[in-house]
Amino acid sequence: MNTVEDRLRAALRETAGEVTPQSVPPLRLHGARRRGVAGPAARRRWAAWLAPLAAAASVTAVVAASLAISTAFHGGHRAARGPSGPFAGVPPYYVVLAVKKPHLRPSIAQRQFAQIRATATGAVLASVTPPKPYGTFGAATAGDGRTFVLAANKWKVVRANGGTFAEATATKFFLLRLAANGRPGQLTPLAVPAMPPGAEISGFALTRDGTKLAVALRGGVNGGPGPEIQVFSLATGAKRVWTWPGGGPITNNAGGNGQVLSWTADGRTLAFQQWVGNSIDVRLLDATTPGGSLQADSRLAVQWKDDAESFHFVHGKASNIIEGFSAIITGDGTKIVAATASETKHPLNSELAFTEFSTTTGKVVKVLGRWPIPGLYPGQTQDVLWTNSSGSTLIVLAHVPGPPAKDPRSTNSAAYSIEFGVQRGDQFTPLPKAPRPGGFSPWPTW
Amino acid sequence: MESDSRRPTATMRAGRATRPRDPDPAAAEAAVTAIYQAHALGLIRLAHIMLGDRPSAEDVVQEAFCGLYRRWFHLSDTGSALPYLRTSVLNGCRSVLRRRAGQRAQPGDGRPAASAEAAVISGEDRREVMQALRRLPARQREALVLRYYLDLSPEEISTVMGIGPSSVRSATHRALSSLGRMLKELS
Repeated sequence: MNTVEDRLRAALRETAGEVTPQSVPPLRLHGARRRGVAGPAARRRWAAWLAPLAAAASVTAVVAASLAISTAFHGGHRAARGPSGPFAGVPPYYVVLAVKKPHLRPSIAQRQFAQIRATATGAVLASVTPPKPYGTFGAATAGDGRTFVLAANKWKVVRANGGTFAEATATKFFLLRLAANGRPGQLTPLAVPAMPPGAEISGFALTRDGTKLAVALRGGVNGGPGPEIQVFSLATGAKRVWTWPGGGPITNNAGGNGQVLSWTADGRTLAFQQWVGNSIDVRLLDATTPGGSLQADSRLAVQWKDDAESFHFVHGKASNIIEGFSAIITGDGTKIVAATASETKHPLNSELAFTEFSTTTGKVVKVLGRWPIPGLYPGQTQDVLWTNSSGSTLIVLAHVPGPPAKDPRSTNSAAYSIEFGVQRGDQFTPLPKAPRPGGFSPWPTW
Repeated sequence: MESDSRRPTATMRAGRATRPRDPDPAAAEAAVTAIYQAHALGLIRLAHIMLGDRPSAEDVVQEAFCGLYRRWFHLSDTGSALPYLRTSVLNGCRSVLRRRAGQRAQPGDGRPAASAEAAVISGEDRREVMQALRRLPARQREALVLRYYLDLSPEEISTVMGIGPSSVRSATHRALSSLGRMLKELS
């Protein structure tokens, strides 16, 4: 018993052993229901539970009234020529999932619908409700900015353990195309078989020409079947499958959020993130092959090592950390973009940034949006949601520069806020009227 | 604007209570009691490690289960009860420790020493480790306990603590370094 870890484990075990099974008192629930509205501490606990519930939103939700396919168009938008000014070159529209009454909790009890928003103004151009009996829970997008895939769950109502809830029984993909003015067309079921219950979908992505859909199944848990990538032709429904028996799961550093799949502009290469024991690997799948071995048909592009503190990479003298969740390949296939943080120890300083790694060498080739911070960096998330072909312009989730601000609804001390915006070089421009990061919905998709 | 030092999925606004669905208190009590029978021992042990005294640990766990019971009809996924309870217990422990820090000035780290009985039966090494553990900042202490007592993965700890996996790793790493330093000083 030499290491600190060994001593700690032993001490914790012995201390825990002071509480014996015989000493556990009976549960006293009397009066619990007569209490008033939960206080702040209880509300924080409730909120903390909602995080895992949000992660499980794809498999469980309470069923509300059934809704038919419907779209509501809220007026045209002059984005036909694409946004200008700081938003030039970014897709004109994005999709964000929402609920009708976001102040109600748990909001996953409500059906999620898709809002089509204008990137440059944040205006809600249309709302798309899922076809009966589905409830939308995810979205992917094509590079033209007007083609989206929405994934919907089919629900089965279950009454058990004193509650009424629902289980997802299948996941079905739908295609949504927008006109140049943002008006949504028909929500079309894709010629892709529904994903069965229990399929752990860790991500899906549409090629930029909207012809192929890639779906990643997580796998790789407890000796299971291993991860799998399926690529469907939307025109014919033809399916190719790559599997990796015994391979690590296709996932990222964060569980539910972030993109684990992304396509190059030519639709020939699919980047995916894989958690392999002591590293997160970004691999490039040659999607022109007929399918087969995910390991043989892909190559390692970037690797971030787990040194027990975080996932690190080497660049300069600072300690560099992968802070974000997504790892997106640029359209030209030359770089992987991710949110990062760096620390220097003496003196203790930090820097947040968006870092681009060469897909050839795995080394850092470009850093955008450097934000030096005295002392430790704030613990919130930055992430990359979209990149242009060269990686010069990104849509990101970033900290807002300036002094820390206090959220009046939070009991925590002041901190830096985070928001969605466009990162062009070191210039960050917040997206007007963008939804608040957080909540139950997946992050917006472009 | 988000101000919590957490990743977005964990920074949700507190909501008002929703109208219960098909309330059946007897069924709810039976379900919560079943969860208590399955997990109370582990949770009391967790609180005992955090607080260092058993009565407070039992109170914190009782309160966590009462909270679960009160919210039972608003739940969408009763299968997530254990992560919720762990989070509740950790929050309850933090409250107890804050109250203690405000109510009584204690020598040393301001946290109660182990009982005399416990001190007698404790090995010297264990006493030193637990003393050092209780000197750590709350986040670091929780990360260590969840990692080395419950053997949770960084992702699971992230869910319980409401912080990102990177922050979990960072807190664990720093906590181990601090613990090692303190143990060296004590020896």
